[in-house]
Amino acid sequence: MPTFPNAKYVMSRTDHDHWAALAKKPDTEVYQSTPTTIPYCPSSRPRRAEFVTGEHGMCGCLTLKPAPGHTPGQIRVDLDSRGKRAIFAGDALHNPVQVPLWKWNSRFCEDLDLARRSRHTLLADCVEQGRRC
Amino acid sequence: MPAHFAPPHAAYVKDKADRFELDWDFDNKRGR
Repeated sequence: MPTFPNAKYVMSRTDHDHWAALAKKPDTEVYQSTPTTIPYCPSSRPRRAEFVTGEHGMCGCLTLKPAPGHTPGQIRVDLDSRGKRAIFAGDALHNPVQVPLWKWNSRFCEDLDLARRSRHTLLADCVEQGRRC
Repeated sequence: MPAHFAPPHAAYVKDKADRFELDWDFDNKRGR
């Protein structure tokens, strides 16, 4: 049973394909295959899933933007509403300490250099665009 | 950042040389 049975799940095509392919390999660790087997997995509810790549606007105030590195298809969500701006960083930014020390990655970042670049871009966008995170 | 690590209050970000710094704006002087 999905966590939210009536919700539409908008998610990264890149990430879905990456984890789905990994789950088929015999030597894949359990934690690596979990994203494709958990109840809200789009594979189990294809009519409720929408896969996106690149920038994707939705609801008139949200923009999904690629922030790869932690995972190949990691995305951040930029909010623009009534003159207020914010970024939901997701796994591109795990801990407040990664703001001053933006080169620090989590143990589970898949591509270390790409994760750093995405984090720097996200934080620079916060500065330049006056966004909260 | 993920909710289980995130502080309860979003922050602005300031440039600080080659680093960044959080600007918490706890009093919401810059507005919510």
